[in-house]
Amino acid sequence: MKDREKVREHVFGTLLPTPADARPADSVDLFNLGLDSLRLMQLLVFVEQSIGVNLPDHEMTPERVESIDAIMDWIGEHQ
Amino acid sequence: MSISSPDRALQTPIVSSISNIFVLLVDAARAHGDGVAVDFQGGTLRYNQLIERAERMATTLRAAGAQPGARVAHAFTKSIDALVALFAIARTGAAYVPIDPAWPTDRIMAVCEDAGIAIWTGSKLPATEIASIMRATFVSQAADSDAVTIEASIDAPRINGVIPAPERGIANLLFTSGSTGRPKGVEITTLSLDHFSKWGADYFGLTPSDRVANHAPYNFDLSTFDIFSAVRTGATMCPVPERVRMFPYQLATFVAQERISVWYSVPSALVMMQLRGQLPEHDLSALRHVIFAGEVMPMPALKSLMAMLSHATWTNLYGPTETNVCTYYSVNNKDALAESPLPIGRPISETRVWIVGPDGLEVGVEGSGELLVAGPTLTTGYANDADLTRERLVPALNGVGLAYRTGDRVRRRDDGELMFEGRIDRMVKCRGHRIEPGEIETALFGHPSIREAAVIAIPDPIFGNRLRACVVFRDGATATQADLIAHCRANVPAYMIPDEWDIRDALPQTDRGKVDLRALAASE
Repeated sequence: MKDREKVREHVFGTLLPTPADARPADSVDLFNLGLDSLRLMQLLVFVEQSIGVNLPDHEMTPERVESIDAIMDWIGEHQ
Repeated sequence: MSISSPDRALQTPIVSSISNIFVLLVDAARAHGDGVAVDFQGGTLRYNQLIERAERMATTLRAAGAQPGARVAHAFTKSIDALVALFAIARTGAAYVPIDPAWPTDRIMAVCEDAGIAIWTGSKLPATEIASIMRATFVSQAADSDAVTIEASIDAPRINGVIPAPERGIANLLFTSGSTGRPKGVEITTLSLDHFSKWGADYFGLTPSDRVANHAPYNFDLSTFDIFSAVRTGATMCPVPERVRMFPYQLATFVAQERISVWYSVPSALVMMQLRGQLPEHDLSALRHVIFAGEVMPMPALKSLMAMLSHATWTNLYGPTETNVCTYYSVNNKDALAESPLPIGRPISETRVWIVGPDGLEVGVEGSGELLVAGPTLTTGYANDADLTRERLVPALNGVGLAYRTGDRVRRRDDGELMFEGRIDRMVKCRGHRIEPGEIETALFGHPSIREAAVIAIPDPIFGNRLRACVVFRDGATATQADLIAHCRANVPAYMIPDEWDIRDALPQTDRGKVDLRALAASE
């Protein structure tokens, strides 16, 4: 599985479950879908363990995690 | 045997109090008029500006019907407008009712009905159904509507006349999770706010040069310290911007850049900063008091936090919404090295506690039992729910007034400090939020496919607990996890949406035919 698919699957399959046939676009605002502090922490741990990318704490801002696109850009900066 | 009514208890306050919490702002404006009252995202208001805006808005609110006995919705995310509106409502003698704008519409509706709200103030317009039951609406962002903007509401002249006391002394209503599925409104008195904020200001020695962070939402009792203890000393209130709250590094940056000197939050906010905030990178030298409450602080995180911020004092406060803070414990270095949990400590001034067994009598020296609390911070009861009020407010063991049955099981340590041991009922805490699993289960039973449901708490090292829903579908029916979550989202606040789902063929039962929650928790 490609990294983007892995992240999508984790976000829409586990953190913010959404029916497979109705998954939002990668640009959709995740905060509006219920992304909160607990799920955000789980997402970071997932990225570090499953993709093997360490995301520096100081870079974590709302803008970097607000959508799948934003998260993938952030991961890309560290691959 | 005669049982005192809540009203009777109110007529015999243990300590004297101001008549309206607005008086704290009047005094602050008189003593520290040029001092900065609030500093938010680069904008500031001095005390004489805050009172002027609040008094102007109060004129508009009073014209809309705000007066003693009225309840006014206060549905704001953190902002300067939120503080203007809060004091404006108080000035009219009405009670303010904090509502999280992110709650589902049905929950907000239930709160408005139980509280009897006909005036709305908030960051944004309420949903159409809610707007339709309002006589007047005041919002920060109005868009196209009949609502009055907060900005326009302060065009009015400053309110005149005496500052009325709120009806039955009730300054605000704080809604918390209810086991029957409907949130319950806890009546908080002016006496309670005055007494607690005075205790807090005195104990922590607040001064006009303090900068007090406000991390908790307004519907959390923690915010009453951030607001009223700060105002009564002329300190500066520093609300934490909403989106920064979730980001540990940003939060640490906020504490450093805003030169926060007093921090009060749920433990999970501190634990997140310890894990991901890179605290040693930040200049937190201004921080002199770190205060936490709302759930159990994990000791490994506290040890690490205290090592990083050794110049600050650390204090554990305890108290359900119904009593605001009723006990406190000052953490010392020895505690941080110990593995055992922190005490919840000793009662604050004028407050009495008893530990009672199932027979309602005090337990012996070593025994554990339910904690009962009496004192000036006690609630007068639940809005629109006399039965629950009678159940939870019982005659105090010393025969003076009433005591609140906390539902918390505690014991007294050898040195007299109180130790929290757990709940005698099912209530759980997640990220400081108080959650009745029954409220979530009631929501789940409303789903057409669900036959049985039970919600249990799974301990989590950072967030206190995670919620797991165990559900059984009706014969032939099914639903996706996404359906179930969407259903919850429409019925309960986001923090009550289960984190984990366990779909089963049946739930274990006790020999009395009830769901066996212990077996469920053990079957992990």
